[in-house]
Amino acid sequence: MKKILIVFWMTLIPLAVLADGYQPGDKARGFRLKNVDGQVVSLDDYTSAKGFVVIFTCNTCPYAVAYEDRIIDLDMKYRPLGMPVIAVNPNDPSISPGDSFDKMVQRADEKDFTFPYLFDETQEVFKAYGATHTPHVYLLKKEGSELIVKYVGTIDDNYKDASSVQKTYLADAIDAVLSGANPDPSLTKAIGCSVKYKK
Amino acid sequence: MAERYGGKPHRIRFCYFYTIYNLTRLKIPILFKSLKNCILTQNQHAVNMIIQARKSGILVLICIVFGSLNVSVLGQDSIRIYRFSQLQPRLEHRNDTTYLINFWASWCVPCLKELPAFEEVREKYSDRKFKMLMVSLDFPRDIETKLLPTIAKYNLKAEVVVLDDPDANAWIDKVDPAWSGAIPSTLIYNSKSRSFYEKGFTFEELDQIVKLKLHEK
Repeated sequence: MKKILIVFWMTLIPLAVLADGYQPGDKARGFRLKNVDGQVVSLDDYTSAKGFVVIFTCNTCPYAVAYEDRIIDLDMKYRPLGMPVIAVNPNDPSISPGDSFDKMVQRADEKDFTFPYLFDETQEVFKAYGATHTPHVYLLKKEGSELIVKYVGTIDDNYKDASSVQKTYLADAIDAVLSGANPDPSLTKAIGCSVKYKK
Repeated sequence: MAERYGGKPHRIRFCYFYTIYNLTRLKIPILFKSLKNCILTQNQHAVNMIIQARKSGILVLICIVFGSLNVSVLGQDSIRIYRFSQLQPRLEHRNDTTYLINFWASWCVPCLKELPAFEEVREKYSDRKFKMLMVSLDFPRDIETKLLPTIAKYNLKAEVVVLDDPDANAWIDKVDPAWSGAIPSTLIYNSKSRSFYEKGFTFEELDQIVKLKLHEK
């Protein structure tokens, strides 16, 4: 019976990690992380930005790869409007070797990423945000000195085919925030690759 | 055949056709009886025909055996592709069986890591009222190139279906509201209770959970 209880409690641990993540309306922490160009990027550097499209993504997840071009398009469209994309790789390369910093540099170069692609080496950032899988989006709005979470979830409703997308959840949410409204829905879900970290 | 043997006496024709008829119905004892009858007519031509028929009969048998083998191989090739509305009834059975639904994909490393544990648990409880369904989230274009080789490599005997329903936001909560969408994840339920796990399993962990669920009834 003891064993059963131990197993029972163990199964609750990942749920506890989940429950700690940011929800729409929460205040988000900023971060300083190393970019693929070797420079450290801080959200504080973007003095004129109205907010950020923080996307936890990686090299190795087919779902994340399927969204790369669409993430570039989003950055091209919304960076000039004050909502730049900030991509963060949360994976531990000792578990997922394809997500090492060197491989990130290589991928960013191959795809010509227009946005910073940061390495969450200590894995503190994804844990604070509560990202569970890649790609996982957090749309932040600057309100004074604070960053407020406005939308959490997926990019759109079709991971495998950009031309079949019906609902552009993230773009709609950014448009809403830019026009001073709250996104609806503010929380969506998507299938993705679990974030790789040592438990 | 009727044309070819049209000039032969009625009886020979009859025993030939009867033998063929039995061959097609695979009534082997009757086949030998009709063969004996034909030999008793002492008609060499009829005997030759029967021997021919038996040879072709063996060919037919070989074809049938290989055919059925092919069907089982093709059965794997034609993995069912579900929309969520087609999968949903399988998440909501109300009977005396315990169901385990695992969401996985061939590209998901932690999913592959737990596959042997799932196969072991399936095998262990194969004589109980316990059913396992492996729901793959592989892209349909990867079925031939990635999914089938993975099923073969891990020697998966549980049923595998592909869930191809890209608007995951519309159905993730229907599997379980606690699910973030990350895989691997596992639903285990029976008519008494329902548990959802967004994590990978070792054999011991999964075995305990299944054992517990089977004891609920």
